[in-house]
Order: sequence, then C-alpha cells, then structure tokens
Amino acid sequence: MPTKSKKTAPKTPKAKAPDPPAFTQQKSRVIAMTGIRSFIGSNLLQRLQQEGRHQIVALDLEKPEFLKPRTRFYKLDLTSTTADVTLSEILEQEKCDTFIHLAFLSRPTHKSSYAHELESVGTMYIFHACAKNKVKKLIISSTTMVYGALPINPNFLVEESPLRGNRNFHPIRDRIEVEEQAQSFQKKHPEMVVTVLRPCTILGPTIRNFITTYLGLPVITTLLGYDPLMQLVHEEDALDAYRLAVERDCPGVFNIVGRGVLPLSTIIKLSGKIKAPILHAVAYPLIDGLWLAQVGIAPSGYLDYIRYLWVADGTKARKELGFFPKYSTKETLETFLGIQRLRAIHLVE
Amino acid sequence: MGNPNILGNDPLKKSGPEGKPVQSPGLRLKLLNPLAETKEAPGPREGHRSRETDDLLDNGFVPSPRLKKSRKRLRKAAVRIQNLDEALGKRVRLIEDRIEDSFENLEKGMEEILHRLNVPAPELGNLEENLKKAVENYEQKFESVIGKIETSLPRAQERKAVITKIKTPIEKGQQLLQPSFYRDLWRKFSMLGTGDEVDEFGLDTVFEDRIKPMFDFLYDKWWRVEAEGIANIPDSGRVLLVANHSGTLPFDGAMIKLAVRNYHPTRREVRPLVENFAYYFPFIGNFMAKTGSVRACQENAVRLLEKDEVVIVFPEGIKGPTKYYKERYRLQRFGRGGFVRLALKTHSPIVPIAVVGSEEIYPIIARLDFIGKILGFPIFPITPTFPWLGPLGLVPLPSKWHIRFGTPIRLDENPPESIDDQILINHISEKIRAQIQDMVYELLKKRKSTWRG
Repeated sequence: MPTKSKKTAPKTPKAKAPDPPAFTQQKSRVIAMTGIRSFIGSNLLQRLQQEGRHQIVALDLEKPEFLKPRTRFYKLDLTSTTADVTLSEILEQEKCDTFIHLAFLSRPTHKSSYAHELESVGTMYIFHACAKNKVKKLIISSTTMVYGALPINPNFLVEESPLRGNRNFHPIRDRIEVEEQAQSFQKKHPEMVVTVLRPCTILGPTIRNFITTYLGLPVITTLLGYDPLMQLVHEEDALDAYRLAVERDCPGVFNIVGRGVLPLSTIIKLSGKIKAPILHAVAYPLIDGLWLAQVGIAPSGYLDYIRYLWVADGTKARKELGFFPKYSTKETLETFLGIQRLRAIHLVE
Repeated sequence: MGNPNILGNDPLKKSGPEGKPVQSPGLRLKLLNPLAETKEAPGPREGHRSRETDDLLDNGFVPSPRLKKSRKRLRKAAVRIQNLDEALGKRVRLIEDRIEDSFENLEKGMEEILHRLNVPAPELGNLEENLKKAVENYEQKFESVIGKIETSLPRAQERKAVITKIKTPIEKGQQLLQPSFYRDLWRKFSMLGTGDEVDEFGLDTVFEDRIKPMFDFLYDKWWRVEAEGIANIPDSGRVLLVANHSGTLPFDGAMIKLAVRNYHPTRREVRPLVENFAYYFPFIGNFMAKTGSVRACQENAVRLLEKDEVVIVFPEGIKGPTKYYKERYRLQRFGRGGFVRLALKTHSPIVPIAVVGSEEIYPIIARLDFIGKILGFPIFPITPTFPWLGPLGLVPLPSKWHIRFGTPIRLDENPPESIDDQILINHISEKIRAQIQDMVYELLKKRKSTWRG
C-alpha cells in the first residue's frame, strides 16, 4: 500500500503588489459628488477633504455634519423632474470637471418606483447635465451583481462578460440600465473618461449594508444543497479603489474584488451561526411572502445570488487601475466577525 | 432742546417728512374734544412734580431751559430715561448672573480635577506599579493557600493533585458560563468536514481527505483497480487527459483521480471538467466543486491549464454513460473537437486513457427517459438492480477495472493557425478516439472475466 501523503491546504494567490501605471498629472480638480451620505460617499468625501487638494461640491438631499466650510453643499433631489436643469446650473456655476455618482441604494426597499426614479432616471439626468457642461471625468458606482448568478457562469467573470442579471427583478434591472447608459455615454463622448467600478460584496468594521444585516441574523437562510463560492472586498480596499479612480484617468469598467473565494457554507460556519436551508422549490414564494409581510429582509430575486456562482475576476483592475486588495476574502470576513463580536457585547456601536 | 441721539435728531421732537413738526393725533383729539380732561399737567407749576422728575433731578440731571419751561416734556424725558435705566439694569443683572454661574461651574470643575488628582484611582497613576501590586496580592493569596496545603500535605504529588483539583473545576465552570464557548464549540463541530480555505475553483483539500477513505475502499477492495502507465503523465506542467466515459455515474473520473493521487510520483491533483447540467441540481454541483471539479467551459479550462494543472475531459459527454449495455465499449462521437482546440491553444500534451470495467457497474438494459424529464434528470435507467431494490439498487456492481494511460500526444508541430482549421481538429479528434478504442479492445482481450479480471 503506498503511503498517503497529506497535502497542505491550497493558499490563495500570493500577495504581490504590481507596478502601478504611470500617474496622470496631479492637478487639483473640482469634484461634484452625489450620494454623500452612503458609506463610500461619506468616507470618500472626508478623505478628499482631508487631503485638501481638490475642491469638492457635495450634492444631496440633506447637509451632513462632516462637511468642512471649504466644501460647498447644494440640495439636489434626483427624483424631481427638473433635476438635470438644477444640476446643470450647479455644475456650470462651480465649473466642475469631475463627477462621482454614488447615489444608489445599499439595501432592498419596498418603494420600487422610488428606487427606479433615483437610480435609473436620476443617472440619466446626471448624464444629461455632464454632457451639457462638458465634465471631463465621470465615476459611476455599480456592482458585480449585474453579471447575474447563473449555473452557466464561468468561474471568473471578466468585465467583457454579458450582463445577465435578472431583468424581471427591479433592483438589478435598474443597475443594468445604469451600466448600459454609461456604455452608450462613453460611446457618444469618447473624449470623456467614464470609469465604472463594480465592487463585489463590501464588508468591514464600519459599513452597514444589506449583507451585514444578512450575516448578522442569528439563523442564516440558505438554499438546500446549494453552496456557491463568494468573494468579499474589505471596505478600506473599496475606498482605495475609488480614490485611485479619482486620481488616475482610466476609462472603462473595472471589477473591484478581494483576493480568493470562500464557499457560503464556510462563511456561515466560520461565523458560528446556524444555517437554515430551505428547499429551493418553496424558497422563492416563501421569501417573497415574508418580504411583503415586512418580516423578511429581501425579496426573492436575491436568492439566486446564494444559489449560483457570480465570482468576478479582478485582474483588469490590477493591471490598469493599479488596484491591489490588501485583504483577502477570508481576512475581510475575519475582520467583520471580530467587529460583530464586539457589537454583540455592546463595546462598539 | 433735549438730548440728541447719535443721528443728531432730537428724540423728543417728532418731525414729519419735510422736517416740520407733526402734531401728534393725541393733541388733535384734545383739540376736538376740549371738554375731555387732560391728565397732563396744565403748565409748569412749582407744586406739580412727579416721581420720575424727582428721581431725575435728584440724580443730578440739569434740565435745559426749554425743558425747564415745560414740565410735561421733562416728565416724558424722565420716564424715558427711567425705562432705559431699568432695561439697562436688567441687562447688567443678567450678565452678572451668568458670570456668577460660569464662575461656579469653573470652581466645581477645578474642585473635581483636584479631587481626581488626589485620589489614587486605578485608571490614573502608574499602570506598572498597579499591575505589580495586583500580582503581588495574587501571589500572596496564592502563597498563603499553598503554604497551608504545604504544611498539611508534605508530599509534592499530593500537593499538585489537590491544587489542580481545586483549580480546574473553577476554570471549567467559568468557561461554561461564557456564551463564546458554545459558539466556538459549534464552530469546531461544523468545520469538522471542511477546510477554511479553498482554491479559486472551490477545491477543498480537507473535505477531499475526509472522503478519501470511502474512495480508497472502492478503488482497492470493490473494484480492485489495476492502473498501468501512470508515469506517462509528466511530473509537472499542464496536461490534458482524455478518457472514455461510461457507467451512468462519474465513478471513472473519481477512480482516475485517485490513481494519479496515490500512484503518481508527484501525486498530482486532477481537475475534471463537468458539464453544465450538474450545476443546476442541489447537491451535485457543491460536491463536485469541493472535490476539485470545474464547470466545463472554455474560459475555465484555459485558466486551469495556464496554471499548469492536470485537466481531464470526457469528450463523449452524456452519450457515454447513458448507452445501453449491449453497446458497451463502443466509443461514441467525441463531441465537436473542443478538447483538441483547447490543447492547441494552451500547448498542452494530451494523454489518452482507456478505462475498462466501468461499463458493468450499472448495466442499463432499458431507459424510461420521460420519468427522468419530470424529475429533471437526463435519463432514468433501468438496471438489473435499480428501480426494483430501491436505494440498494444504487450500489454499483463490483466488476474488476483496468485503466491504461497512453503515451502523451504532442500537438506542437501543428502551426498556430490550425485552431481555426476545423477539418484538422476533427481529424485529430478521430485519431485520438481510435487510439483509445484500440486501447480498450486490447484490455478487453487480456481480460478473462468481468468480475475477477
């Protein structure tokens, strides 16, 4: 009988930072930002303010407290019908040359028509205003969910893959429309730099989004027998990606993902929670019923994302944007679990 | 003339738009109604003095000659001044109160700070000293207990046993009271079968090692597999293995994987490519991914080969395992030559493999595909054991297996444009198929009995 050798566990790809692409001129820009009360918006704004190099124009419904006097604030309601006129005036007055659009919802909402107005139509207004005022650079926030979770997905979705997200499901359809608008805008205005960043699930110590709620449940719902691979990106790395997009002029679409993957069952087991597998045939109507009764945390369109594969490939971001994630998926998860434990004993809010 | 204010206007003189004095409506009313008694003083008389004018004059106010003439005007001035005085006084008192309050707060704050500095609180003060004191305290207490035990039990072993007897239940009890203990216990229990790291395609080595004993049993005892030519697989670098497929369930892939894992000099990990339909079902896709299989598509396969892995394909596809028993060992068409294109693109050698014995594990004598369509499976086979004996019918028959690994075929001499040459690709595909068929026939000739070899 031959000896049976024990293999060491396969390690995630070794962490080696690549050579970054050449820096574009480090000039000071006038940046207009929407969605400044979201996680990425507020943190990015505060960091840019601290840096002090760029002039920032903040656009949102309410003025937050962390704005410094140098940052100008304008009230802008993207769901109103004259939003593009208002925005165009603001851009002209402030002579903005960069626009960062982060006004997207981070959680599923019952108000689907409001969400459509904000995400899809609001983005259209922004493109109108930017085209009119010849804004030189646009950064749009998207998500890897637009690729869709299908059993026929390859193990690494590259940026050129077709967007096969479920168009009957409103949140994903709105995001796909945003992406399509961005593509057609770039085609019409090839001299503008349109960067679309697609981060996968963001986790970390301070972020609160839909996924932190899902992993914070005492009993986590999954589908019986399905265990897709998941990837996570740390919040610091996601912010770093946006900062790089602001500083470097890289047109195109980029997947922002962490290193390595983990199956969903391992994520649940490492967090010490109990799985509640539901048979897939009954899961969809059941989750929809719970959502309509305002008990569930999400509609059933998101169940596909814990059933099939939707792992994206981050090599293009590494090569062209110079984005290198410092945290692997497992390390991100461990940071998040640590903070959850501190929250459970009320040591951190 | 009255005291002029900053603007230079006489506040007591009401001037209209042209600078002329305007008669106040009160005066006009008085004129209209001469019988109404005016409360004003009729004229300057020594006897009529009001309180306000008294105050004013007592305070040293020197009225101008015009004011002296009209007591009424003087009284008005006095009233106004008194009002101003009251308001000023109120203001001053308010400010004084506030200053007093802030002083009080300051005093209180200072007292608190002094109080805190004086008291030897554990937060302030030297941490090191406090720690040392705490440790000394603990040691003293411990020593006193130990001292008592030492005096009562002079022998060291008894001493040690008693100390551990006292300490461990307390520690364990403390542990049991913490909820994190239960959570860690649940974590360890649920992570028994899985590793906490997977490679980028989902391969989980800890899971593989756990299920290896079952497959070892199948390899050594049930099917008594004899594999020859394993050294034909290069020790390192990318290889594409091509094998014939049979047996309803993909056990042949598992046995080839195990053969290479156990008997190859460098114990290489073989990654099979699995068709799409496995990923539509609940448990199969999950199991496949954990044991190293990858969904069959061009991108995945190219990526694997470029990482210098060993990839095995079964080009017969679903047609192989679903053929009838009477058609056994006749290789079906080898797809559309996708594996040849893959080998050409990635410059990997092809090793043909012939497996004999896997046709007999589930001999399909009939098929009821319509039942399979209802359940979602591509086939519903009828074997001598399957639907009749229920789940026992899923136990595979113990035939004896032979696996032969052929010599590697290198396609490097073909020019790079031949990727688009469909005729050449089909030709190579047919050649390989014929070679595997020959190997199968050779093994069949050598085989004397299906069950014993």
